[in-house]
Amino acid sequence: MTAPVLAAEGLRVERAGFALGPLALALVPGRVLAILGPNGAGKSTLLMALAGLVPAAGGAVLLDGRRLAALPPKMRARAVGYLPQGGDVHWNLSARALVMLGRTPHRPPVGPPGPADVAAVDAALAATDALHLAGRPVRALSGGERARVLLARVLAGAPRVLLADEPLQNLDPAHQLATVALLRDAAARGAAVAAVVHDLPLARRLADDALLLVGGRVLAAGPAAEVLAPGPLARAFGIRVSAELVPVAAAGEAARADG
Amino acid sequence: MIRAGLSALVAAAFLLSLSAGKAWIAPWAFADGTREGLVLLELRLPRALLGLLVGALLGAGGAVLQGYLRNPLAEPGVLGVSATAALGAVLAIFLGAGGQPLVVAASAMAFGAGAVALLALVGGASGLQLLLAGVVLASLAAALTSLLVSLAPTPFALGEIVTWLMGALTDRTFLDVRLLLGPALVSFVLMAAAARALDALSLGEPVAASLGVDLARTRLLVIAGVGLGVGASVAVTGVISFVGLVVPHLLRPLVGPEPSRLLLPSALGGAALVLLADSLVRLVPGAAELKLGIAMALLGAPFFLWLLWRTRTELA
Repeated sequence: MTAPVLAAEGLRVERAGFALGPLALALVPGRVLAILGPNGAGKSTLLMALAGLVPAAGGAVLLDGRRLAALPPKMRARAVGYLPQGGDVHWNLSARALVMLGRTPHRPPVGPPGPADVAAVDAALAATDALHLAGRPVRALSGGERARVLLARVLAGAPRVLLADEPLQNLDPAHQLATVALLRDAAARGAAVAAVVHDLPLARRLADDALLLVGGRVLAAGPAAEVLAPGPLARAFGIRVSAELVPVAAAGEAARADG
Repeated sequence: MIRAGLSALVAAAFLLSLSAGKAWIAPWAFADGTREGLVLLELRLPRALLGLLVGALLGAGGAVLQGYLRNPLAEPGVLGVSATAALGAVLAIFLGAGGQPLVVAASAMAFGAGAVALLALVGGASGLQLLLAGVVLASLAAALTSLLVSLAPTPFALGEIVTWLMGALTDRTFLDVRLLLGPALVSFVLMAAAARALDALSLGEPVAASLGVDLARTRLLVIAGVGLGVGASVAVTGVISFVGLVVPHLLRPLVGPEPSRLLLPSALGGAALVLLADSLVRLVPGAAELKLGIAMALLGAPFFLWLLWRTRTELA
């Protein structure tokens, strides 16, 4: 097995009365981890902690074995891309200008973008099927178009670790599948991907591994086929999962559980 | 293209500011050795230079504050930064430092920076909360200034404070230009150093941080840059409001909304606006000259109301 690029060891986070962890996880190049859990389980907090955006109250996040918190911000930013939920854009930037912000850690403090930056932005816009939106102001975009442009922003930075908080939200089914393919593609090109996902079938389609988070603690973690099975899901969400919701490999297991 | 146009506008406004007045003087009269040449060199040139610097500082300061607070209504005057800097200067005069312009300026700069720091602390990115914080700050500064005025130890100090409070570029000398030049240059450098970070902040603080932006450093650059620039401007010319509000707004549709692209054009636009307004107040007929600070408020307040009306849905 490949060595993890980003790892959490004994990670604990305390935020406004909410405690996450202690937990351990490892993100491996080429693999996609789906993070699932009920609302308020701490999924977003976990993702922010992995991105180095909230301080650890205990334990550490390690990038290539080195403490993430001790790295220069620019170096950390080149390695770890973070796509938040919702995605506020405070000025009415053009889609292209927004995606160019993803190049920030690669650019010197002053001066116009270089050819490599422009090429990366074009490639990211093309990958998310948003090249035709490049000149449009973001406030004129639909929710789905905006989500694609925001995803292109992260891809433009070519991070080795991609952390996405509900990247499938607001997308129509076709673009959900396209985004799943994009994240898988990023993994195929060597990135380690972690994404918060709510939709079980999409999670199965997206992820190699899965992590179920409940009340700030890991309820189950491991290969997606084992974690996204009726047993763990029932314990996490308090629902009985039918065969329709857990397709492909887990379907047989679900049928056994039902029977 | 737009920068070239703005530069030409600034140059034209600068020449107009040299020429305009109760007596029109051609800009090339300085070589004549006449009385007119003397007026041009000793009175109008420092006045025009101050207008240039103060306008540029206020324009750029507005663009930077709007970018940092992610709010198109942010402006040093509206948010009470200028009023607080004025309080600092008045306090210095009240305590007897009226004869030491350096002390007055330092006090104004410190209070200006303190005001920006306070806004960054309590204002947040919510438009309504920020504006309310600014209104409270401005009222508090105005009340304390009035208190100091009413407590003024001597009629001389009172006169000094009141004249100075009404923002104007009249009767300024090269001493004032020299006083402003250093802080102005430092302020411009600090604001320019924050520009790239301000762009990233359009995506909110967590994403900006994930893009490698040092949020604490950016806050410091903005507080020091805007506080220093506005404080020094206020120390030299008194309170001139709305420049930093009007200029970035007029330019945003032309150069785009990224704070970094707006910075230099806003400095140029601010310089042009103050130079033009200061030329106009000299041309208004009447015995006494209209104060620039009052004229800008008369022009700026309706503009601000119009802006509030236009952005009312975003604020709600």
